[in-house]
Amino acid sequence: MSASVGLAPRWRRTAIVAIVAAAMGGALWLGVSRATAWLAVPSRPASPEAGPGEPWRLLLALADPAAGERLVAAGKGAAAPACAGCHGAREVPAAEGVPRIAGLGAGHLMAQLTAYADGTRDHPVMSPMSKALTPRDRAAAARFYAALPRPDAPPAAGVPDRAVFERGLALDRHGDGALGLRACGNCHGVLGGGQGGRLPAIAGQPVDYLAGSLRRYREITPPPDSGAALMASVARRMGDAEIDAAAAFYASLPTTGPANAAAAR
Amino acid sequence: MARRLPAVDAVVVGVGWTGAIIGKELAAAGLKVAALERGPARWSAPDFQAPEIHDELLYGVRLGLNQNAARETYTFRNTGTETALPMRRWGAFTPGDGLGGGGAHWSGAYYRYDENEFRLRSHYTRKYGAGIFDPTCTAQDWPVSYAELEPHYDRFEYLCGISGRAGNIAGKLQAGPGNRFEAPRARDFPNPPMKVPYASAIFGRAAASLGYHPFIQPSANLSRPYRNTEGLEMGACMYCGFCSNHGCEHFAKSSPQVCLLPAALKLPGFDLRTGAEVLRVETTPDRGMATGVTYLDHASGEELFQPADLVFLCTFAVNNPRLMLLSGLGEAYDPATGRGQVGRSFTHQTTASVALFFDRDDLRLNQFMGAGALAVTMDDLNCDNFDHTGSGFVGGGYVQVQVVGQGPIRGVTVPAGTPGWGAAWKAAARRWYQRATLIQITATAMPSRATVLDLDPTYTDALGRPLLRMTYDFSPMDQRLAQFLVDKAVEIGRATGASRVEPRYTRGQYDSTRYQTTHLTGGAPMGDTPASGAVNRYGQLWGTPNVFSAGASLFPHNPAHNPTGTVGAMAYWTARAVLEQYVKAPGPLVQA
Repeated sequence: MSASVGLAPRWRRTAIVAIVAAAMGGALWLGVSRATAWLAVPSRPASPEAGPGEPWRLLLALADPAAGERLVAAGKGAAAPACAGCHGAREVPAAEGVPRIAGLGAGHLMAQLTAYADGTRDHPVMSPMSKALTPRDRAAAARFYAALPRPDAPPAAGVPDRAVFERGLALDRHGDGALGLRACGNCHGVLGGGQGGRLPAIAGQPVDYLAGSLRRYREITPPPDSGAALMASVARRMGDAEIDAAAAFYASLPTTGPANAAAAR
Repeated sequence: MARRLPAVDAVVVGVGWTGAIIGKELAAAGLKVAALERGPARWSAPDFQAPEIHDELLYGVRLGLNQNAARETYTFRNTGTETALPMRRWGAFTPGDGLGGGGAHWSGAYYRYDENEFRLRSHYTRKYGAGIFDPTCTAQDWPVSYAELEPHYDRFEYLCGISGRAGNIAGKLQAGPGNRFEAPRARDFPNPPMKVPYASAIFGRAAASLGYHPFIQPSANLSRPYRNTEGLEMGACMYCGFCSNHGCEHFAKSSPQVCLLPAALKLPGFDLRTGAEVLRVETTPDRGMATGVTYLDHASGEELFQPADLVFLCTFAVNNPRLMLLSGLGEAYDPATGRGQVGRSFTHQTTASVALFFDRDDLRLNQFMGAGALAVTMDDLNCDNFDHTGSGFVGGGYVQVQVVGQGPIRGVTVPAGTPGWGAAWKAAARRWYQRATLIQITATAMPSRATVLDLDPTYTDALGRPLLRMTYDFSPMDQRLAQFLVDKAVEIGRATGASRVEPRYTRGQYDSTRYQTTHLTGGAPMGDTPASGAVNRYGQLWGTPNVFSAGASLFPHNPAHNPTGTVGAMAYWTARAVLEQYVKAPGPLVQA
């Protein structure tokens, strides 16, 4: 409200309306009646990073990558040690088995940190750390990692034996009709290269991270309208054999390369 | 001589929505069911997976999932004095083929019919006088009521996971984006409505500013992941824009192969056979009972006789009357005398549109993001929701902006008068791709005495059987209605602030090359006596009580709303009548 102080009353009122509307997710259509509020057109188009209804979209748009760099390097107190300790502050993680998040979409990273913080996703390390950060901190860290290039590193794992690789390739390309499984590539891009700002590249991620994430997705029941619910509904249809084959397959692919052009933007 | 197979309790001809529903219900009750589908098996995975399924040329233009018109088509003429010619490529409608039928690649617009559609003749006669009907109009009351079908609509909606918001629960109007004109429903939809695209919101705001009541169209494109009433998992729609004419890679479009068949196949009594093309229903010499069906097994080329105690005709709407005619079931309709019921009351649909062009450099409608049934629509001018006094028509139509996905081949709208190709077309396509949209009108179609389905005297299909011949034209009532609706839609178009509002009337004769919808109805209408319908209220043939017909061929007229909701509800209604009544005491369920 302080921004409107000093304005003429009629403009002050307009400014307050605009600020309140922006805080409500950007949906502003002056003159809309209550009965047709659902027809409101967002004042801004959705960005590749965030839908108009996501509460953190403004935070992410305004996030300071320099603050993110400081946070990544130094952490924030005992509950939130430096991100770089595991994920690295460059392209490749500092520790074995840690996902390679450099160059993934800022919206994707912010959505995951938010999901860990609000309990939608659950991870023994990431959940307490995300809860210890403010939304502004999470946005800054997401912005920092998203600005890094995708790592040009060797695959996280060697090529698995042929039967496992072919099973993984089939899941990537065709899914499994008998299990009601759609192809991973529908969303994550052909050969795991990622699509757009919100569908992450999974090629070249560590096998234990991929398999562990899928197993945890099988266990959770996220809010039905959330992005996590989509992944959970897929993971629930995967048996251990499918999870292990998909994880081994994607881990054996290069993180960058022709197949990963989408992620290397 | 066809080889005789071991007998089954029931044979289902065609495995789309109705065949899957009836076959599964019967098998679940312990009956042995042979489900015969003439087309190939195809499943969401692997057959509908991306990126291949996003091929607009193959599926959208060349209709790769539809019936092969070079193998089997229809002949068409406008009047009985013309010679019908075969439709060698699809135009006015695009019939399905293969497992799941049209349900595999439909758009997903989901409606219940209005209560008055079921009592059309008596309602309009009582309110406006008998003169509101043209003398040639053969529309009649349906022998089933909305209230009877309500639980079956409900069941079908929870099977499909329909996305929508109720407008009327048990007579109480609901606030929000539901349809206040809808018939009362017992409970809300299983999933919330879809998101509202920009072009649809512009339309909805303009309609609301004129006092209309826009709503988000109920949709079989799912707004979130859903475990359905058969325990099957469905995904959420991604608004990818490759929906109508395509299969869905995300298991997010309600289809027999997503919502039903995996559960049916677990039942010991459900035997699914694809590539099994039924040639005819076999009967006793007096045609009083069916003995089974003869079909061609595409894999072996062999003709097989499948004996069965019950036969369910579950093919695409107009193919049911064709199969009846090919099998000598019922009496063929004669437009000269009005006698006979098979082939009567055939209707299609009257559609029209109004193109809107917004001459604004900064506008990006982004209609490439879409889904088959993603729309803001209104029913203020539909059914009897407005005064028909002096109108010269019954029924109405819904008016909407539906954003199905603006493919690069079919999704370009340019102003009338733009050259069809070359530099001027390209310049217009560039200018208007992001700045033009269509208000679409989908209206009632009334049957008239002269519209008829019969067997063509000249042309045959690839197997040598006569093609179905359509004799059809828009009724004068429908043409008056279409004019009225386009004029109203132009007013809404002007209220959007569009710089150019271009009505695209449907005038003159019905044109079999111009797409309307794939909502063909009638041809084997239900009636309350053998003199008013080919089948009774359960779809049971009057003269051959162990044969049932399902699907839109039963509808005595074509209400404006999309038919699939009622097709699904009627299939459950038929299945329940068979299991609760016929199986216990075989014979006619309605005394003639």
